[in-house]
Amino acid sequence: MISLRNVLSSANRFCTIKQTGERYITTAAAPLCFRLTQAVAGEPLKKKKKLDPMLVRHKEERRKKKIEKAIRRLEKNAGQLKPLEELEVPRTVLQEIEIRKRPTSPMLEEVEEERASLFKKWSKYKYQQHFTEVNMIETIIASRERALEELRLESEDLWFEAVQLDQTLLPFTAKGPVATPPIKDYESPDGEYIDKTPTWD
Amino acid sequence: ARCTHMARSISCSVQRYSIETEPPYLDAGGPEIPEYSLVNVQMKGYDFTVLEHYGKWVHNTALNMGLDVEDSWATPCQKLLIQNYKHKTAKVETEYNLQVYERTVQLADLTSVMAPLFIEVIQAGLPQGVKLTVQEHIPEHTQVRYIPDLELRDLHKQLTDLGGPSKK
Repeated sequence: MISLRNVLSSANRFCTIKQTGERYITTAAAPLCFRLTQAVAGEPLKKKKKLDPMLVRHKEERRKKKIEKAIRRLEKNAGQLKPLEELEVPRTVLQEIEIRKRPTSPMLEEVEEERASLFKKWSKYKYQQHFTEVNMIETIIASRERALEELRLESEDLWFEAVQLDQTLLPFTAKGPVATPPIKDYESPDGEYIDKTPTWD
Repeated sequence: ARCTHMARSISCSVQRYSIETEPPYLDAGGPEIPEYSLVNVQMKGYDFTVLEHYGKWVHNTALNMGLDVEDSWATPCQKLLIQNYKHKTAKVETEYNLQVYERTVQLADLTSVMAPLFIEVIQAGLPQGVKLTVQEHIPEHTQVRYIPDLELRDLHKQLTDLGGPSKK
């Protein structure tokens, strides 16, 4: 066992363990407890500077304001709308457009007259349709207004209740009518619906 | 000869003012009959031509009834891959690629008296294969139409990580 005592004969008086029979002179009141450790060669640890909380808050606020400014800049350029497939000319058609062009021959007079008379008949028919619809709606609205007026004259409270928003009305769903009635004892085939809409994520 | 167009009495010489702007307090109390602020009429269907014509008809009907049409748009279609399995197996027999198209008409200030009548008229003209939905407006309805901006989303995320927007 290597000890300081063995290494340096004069270091006897520094060591705490006293060997009997040996005398040494020391003027120190307490024993000098030396300990040998490995060479550390390091600095003492730097003290962490306590950051002023105000400064910290200022820094964070500055960062947040920068981000908000960037957000406002991006939001100003209004977002892009997703393209609607049904309203775009398919690319294959655009490539073939030169082949698809056809020369038009001048229209015959009879064909033109026939088309004009057909157009007149169609517009007359559509007008009749529109007129009946509008008439129907107007009579309903008129009768409703009359009824509300009478109700108001009758009692203000009842009128107020009648005019309130119907909470059970929205959301409202309805399906269009079907052409054929359901087939009796029809076994619908097993299958799956897989959603393949493109997501721009 | 009498120059009638030149003869003017004193009452006619007074300048006439037409009211161009009304004072704001007249409408401050709000409408007498309560209204829904924004209503979305959504139509969905597999058949595009039928749906498009129906959408146009709904728009026209709303205008004819004197309703305030705020906006009308088309949302991108939902593409479905439909697989038919063979009887009592999980093997795919047939595959179909179908699209569900969608049109929306947005109405503003729909009165509570007009709403049921409008919905009845719309429903009466509903063609086959079209599904109708009438609901109040939610921001998601318009958000779906836009391509999501990834940069913007990242910035928003950063902001929430730092702890919400700066209070001013």
